[in-house]
Amino acid sequence: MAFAHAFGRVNSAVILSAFFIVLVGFYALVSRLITLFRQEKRDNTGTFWRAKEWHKPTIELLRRQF
Amino acid sequence: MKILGISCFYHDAAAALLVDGEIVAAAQEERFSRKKHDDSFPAHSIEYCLSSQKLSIGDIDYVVFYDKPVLKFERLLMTFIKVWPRGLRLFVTAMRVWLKEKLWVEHTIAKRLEYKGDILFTEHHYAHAASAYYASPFLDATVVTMDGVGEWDTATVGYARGNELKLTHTIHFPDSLGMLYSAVTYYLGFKVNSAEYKVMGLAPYGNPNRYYEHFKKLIDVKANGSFRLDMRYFAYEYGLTMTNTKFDALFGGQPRTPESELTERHKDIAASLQKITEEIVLKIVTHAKKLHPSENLCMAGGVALNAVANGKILASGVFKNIYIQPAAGDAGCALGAACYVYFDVLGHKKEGSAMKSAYLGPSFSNDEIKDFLGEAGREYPGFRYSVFSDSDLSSHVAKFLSENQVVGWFQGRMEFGPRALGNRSILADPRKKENWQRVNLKIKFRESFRPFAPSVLAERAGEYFDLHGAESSYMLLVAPVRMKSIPAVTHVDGSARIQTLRREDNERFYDLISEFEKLTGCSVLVNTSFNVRGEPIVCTPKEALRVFANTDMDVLVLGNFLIVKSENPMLNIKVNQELYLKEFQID
Repeated sequence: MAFAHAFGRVNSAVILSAFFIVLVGFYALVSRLITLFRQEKRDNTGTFWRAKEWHKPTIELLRRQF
Repeated sequence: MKILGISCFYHDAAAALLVDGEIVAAAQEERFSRKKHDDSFPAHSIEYCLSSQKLSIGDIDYVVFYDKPVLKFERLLMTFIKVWPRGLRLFVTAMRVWLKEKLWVEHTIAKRLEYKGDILFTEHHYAHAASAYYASPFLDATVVTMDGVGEWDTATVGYARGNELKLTHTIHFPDSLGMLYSAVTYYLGFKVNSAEYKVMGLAPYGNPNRYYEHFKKLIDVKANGSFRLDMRYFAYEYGLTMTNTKFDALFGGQPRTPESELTERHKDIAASLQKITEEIVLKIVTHAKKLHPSENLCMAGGVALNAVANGKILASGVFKNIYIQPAAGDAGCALGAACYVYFDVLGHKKEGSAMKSAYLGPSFSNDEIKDFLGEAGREYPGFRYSVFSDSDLSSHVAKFLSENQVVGWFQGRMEFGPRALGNRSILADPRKKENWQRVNLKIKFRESFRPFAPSVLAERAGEYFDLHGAESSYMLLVAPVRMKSIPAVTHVDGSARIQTLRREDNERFYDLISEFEKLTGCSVLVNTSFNVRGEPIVCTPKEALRVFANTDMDVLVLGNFLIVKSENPMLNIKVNQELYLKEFQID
């Protein structure tokens, strides 16, 4: 019983880890495709400059670490 | 109002204190810890900044950190996902540091300083931009920043008017001119984030065309200066090295082993890199001017320490006036972060420069130096020194210099930034070509190819250098040398990285050069930082005496006190020299 319980736990951990890896992998693939697509698009415009977002600087904004 | 700026945890940790709109103290942690490019929490620098103004942490209105840690963490995660499954080792290494330290900056600051007030976070490139603009004398400017990487930005352009600063365009990681330069620094066997200036110094020995087309393969540059790196050649996104085997194949060999022989190939690579860097920098500033027209350019970020590229901007005439933050690397961000909050966020009016000079570090009075020399006398029986009045000191030291003696010159407040500007300097006669090798090999213990910078009286600068009427107070512009009479400071391509000196900038140093001029007719001195290879610039008299004792320096001047090596044979402690030099990591 104890063995089955432990096995179940390990099994769950393995399944969850595998699921996480697949998820990260899928996200990596999609983000890489998006990056490539965006780079291609920017390349066609003849510039690699991006517009920089601007928010009026306030103390409240600077309290944020992001 | 009192604002403390802090930069740390990457490289060049520093602190800067702004009081009512003026930077009153600033110092890099390496000068206290004696660890070059020290990135640890700048506890010593902060302590110095506060004590120099007789303040406690409770007097500080805001503490400002020089970047947004969570945005940086986001870049780390996104990059890992992008390069996955490569980069696991780098990711694990980075995560350890992030989870232990870098994610808890606010807590660290509050705890280490016992600070209960507001802790703020600026964007990294805003801190760079602010360090240049608010320190400049301008009331409007085009602003350009370029470095390795901040949160995501690696280069930005923008503008500043009055107290407002706005960055409008950016290039994102991994496309980075700073990273390209660092990658080649690594490939050439030098230390990344430390020895990029060596590559710049090596470049004039090489052929800039031999590898130019190779670099064109690495980087796609548009007419407006924007660029994209071909990341197939670089490993810094996923590896513990900067370049990879594809890069090696392109440049015909593996990275140079540190300290091994520098061949023509290495010199040509450095020269070609420098050429393409100059082209890109010039395109960027030209584009920035088109976007945000002004007669004035303000620059900061590690790439702005490329004095050769800066000289090309000056020669191009794109801008009438150029200001480059003397601490253009990350240390200067401490200063910039404080200025950004005071002027831009809190809306205080900008009137002139917030940074009156680069002499913002610790100083030692003649009484303190005398006490120290008393201690030295007990350690070295028979220790001899002389003391001179303010008016006599310069003429005595100038005489030693005119007799080709090498002088360690330790005066007043230590400089902020990587350059010694006449307060922690080793000085020599520029008319003697042999001084180039002599100072390199016997005093600095560094590579023989490294050039030396001249300090020149501002009103004489035009006679010696082709500076187009500009000033270079912080040794950040390279220009052609006009006279053949100063070979020890003339690089192989006939250029020099110049410090122009006005009397109001540094009276004692100015007077010394004036006295040297009276004796020799030469208005220039060799000026190199007071340290040996791998060592941070000296901060205290004790450190200065240590360098003096372990090198072939002839004379040491500490404030008004003068020590002559030949009168103190017991100071010739070269038996300890090897041990001494081993203390410092080679860069």
